[in-house]
Amino acid sequence: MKNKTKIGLTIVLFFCLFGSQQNIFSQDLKPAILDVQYLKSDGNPSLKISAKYREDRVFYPATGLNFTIYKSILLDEKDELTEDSLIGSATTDEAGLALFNLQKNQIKSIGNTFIVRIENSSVFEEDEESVMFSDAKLSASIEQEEDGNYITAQLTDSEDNPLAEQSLNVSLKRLFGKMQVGEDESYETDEEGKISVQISDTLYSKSGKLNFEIKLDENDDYGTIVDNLIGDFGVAMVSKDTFDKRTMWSPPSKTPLFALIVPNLLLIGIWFTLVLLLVNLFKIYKSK
Amino acid sequence: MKDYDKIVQDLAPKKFGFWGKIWVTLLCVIAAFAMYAYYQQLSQGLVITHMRDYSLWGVYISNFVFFVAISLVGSLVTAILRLSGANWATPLTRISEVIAVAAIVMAGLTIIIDMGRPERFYNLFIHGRLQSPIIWDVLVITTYLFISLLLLFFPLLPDFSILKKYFKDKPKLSNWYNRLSLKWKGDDRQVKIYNKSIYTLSVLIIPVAFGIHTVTAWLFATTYRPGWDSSNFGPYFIAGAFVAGAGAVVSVMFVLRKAYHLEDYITDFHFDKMGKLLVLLCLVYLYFNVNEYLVPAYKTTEEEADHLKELFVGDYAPMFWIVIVFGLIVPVIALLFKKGRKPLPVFIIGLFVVVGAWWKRYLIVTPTLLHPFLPVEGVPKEWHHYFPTGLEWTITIGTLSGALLIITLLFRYLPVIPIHETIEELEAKHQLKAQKNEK
Repeated sequence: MKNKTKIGLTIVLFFCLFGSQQNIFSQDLKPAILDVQYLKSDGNPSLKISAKYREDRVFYPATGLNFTIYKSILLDEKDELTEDSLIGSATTDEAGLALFNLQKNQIKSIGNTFIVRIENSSVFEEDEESVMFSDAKLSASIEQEEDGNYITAQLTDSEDNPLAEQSLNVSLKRLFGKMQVGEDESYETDEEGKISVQISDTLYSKSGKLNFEIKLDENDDYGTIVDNLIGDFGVAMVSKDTFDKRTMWSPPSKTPLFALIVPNLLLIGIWFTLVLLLVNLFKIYKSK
Repeated sequence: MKDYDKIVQDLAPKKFGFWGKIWVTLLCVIAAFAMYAYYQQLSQGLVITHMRDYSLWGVYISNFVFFVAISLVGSLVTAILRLSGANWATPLTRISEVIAVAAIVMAGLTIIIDMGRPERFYNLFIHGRLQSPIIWDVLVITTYLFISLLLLFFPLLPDFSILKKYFKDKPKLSNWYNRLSLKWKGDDRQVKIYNKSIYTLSVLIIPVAFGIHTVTAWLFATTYRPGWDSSNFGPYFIAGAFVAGAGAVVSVMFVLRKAYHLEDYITDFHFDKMGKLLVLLCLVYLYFNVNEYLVPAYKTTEEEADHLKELFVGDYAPMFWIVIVFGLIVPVIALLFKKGRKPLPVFIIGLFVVVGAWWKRYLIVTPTLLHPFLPVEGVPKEWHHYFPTGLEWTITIGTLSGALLIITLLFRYLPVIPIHETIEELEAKHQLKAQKNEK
């Protein structure tokens, strides 16, 4: 009976020690939450990778995390993935983001698959995320019509076939964000894969130049495609810098003249009278 | 001549009696406590107060505005009543001038007390911007203090000369009066300069007095906050200051009348007149109050509504209604009756008015600061409220007792009632009587 108890206690103790060590080791590597998107900006393809992790119910960016990036190659006729080819690596920045530029010749018309892997990380568990897309082209231009300027854009696949009924966003880049152009948030392409948006003629910018962005945003088939345009028909901002002017908020050396003259005149008038009154006291004292 | 001697004897300054000494001791003890509290504030900083990011003006600024208000009485009684030919106010001129000087001195001191780093005060003059109402206030307070001192000093010249003779058996005191009288003999040239100077000062003090109160009001009105964002604030402050000043005069004149046995000089007639004047001033101030609260209440913008709700039915409602009812409405009703204008009732009403005036300034300053246009967020819970700490109260009460101490000590050596003017008025009466008899 005693022996059985001893054996039982030993087993419990063993599992406690071993189990707790297992827990400790398993907590060393954190699971990362990955997201990979295909981004084609002004014709340049890239992968936009973001990574974060959760701790105490709060999400933090996974900074300095290294990824290895593979391209999947279809080797047989059934389109099955049979081999991955290493094409490079990328590391996340302070915001947990990494941008990996792809070569144009790495992109096929259809069936592109790229895999992003966490390998040999001392902080995060091994993981992978893949992105699949077909290639598409977005070309935009500014056209001057009688009633004002228009942005026209056309979305086509890699063989120049128009892509209809796709939603495109048109926006104007601002210092802290983007401003909607036209009346709608997004515009659907027509049968020719085209959109046309009238631009207001009272758009302000620092130098008169306007940076427009036409975007197919996170499309399931084609990823994100961006085309940037610069227009020089903006209304240039005139600087309202009052640093050298006399204003109510200037330092004492730049007091507005009316604020300088009126109070001083009043003060001089009153204190001059007071000095005369002091002289009167002296006159009373000296009176014989 | 017999009348002359009696007047001088009655009105010449007297030593403190038993209660006078107790009073001065009490004020000195309070002032000593306040100085200790201020030492604590100097060494530890304004953290000893409950003023924080939102209630950045607290009891000190309320007290400052109160002192500025009280000081207006110098221009009311001395200048306005003098220029309008109201001779009945002659016995009250010295009292109001002394109150004005004491109040304006303590107003200046209170501003320095409110500063976290008073040793940097000189920076106001070096780096001060004429665009700022703070600088206007500094300039106008300095000017008003100087004018008030002159307006106190000029009418004292003949009195000093009289006192020099009266105290000839006390050479040291007589010598001081002699020096202060500036060799006053009362010859034609001196009298001409004297009259001209007092007249000039009486005219000059009115715009400056209005200026000091308007600029103090602008300190608030130029700040975009609920309760202060008003073009009415200048006249509203001036009307309130007249009420506070008149209340202070009737209170002080009652005490001095009792303490120095001046019943023959400050008569029931003076209380009756001041009572009537106080009714008029209270009504004008009530009118401005209605304007100040009714218009924002009618518009009811969100922030103004919060502010008014706090005053009318919120945390500050008991204080607000006590101030309005007992500080303004009750005085008006009581003083409408002849019995209400007897010395003792007028004194009690005067105290009500002065205490009400002090709390009114507190209500102008504090609730507004706690209800800014941008919501109070992300700050410790205690910053949402303000009530002064014990040390703040000690310092504030110290400044009030300091003002009373200045008044008390000045009247130890200055005649409460102008001797020279009283004699002149008596002589004029005798002459008038003689002329009537001749006819």
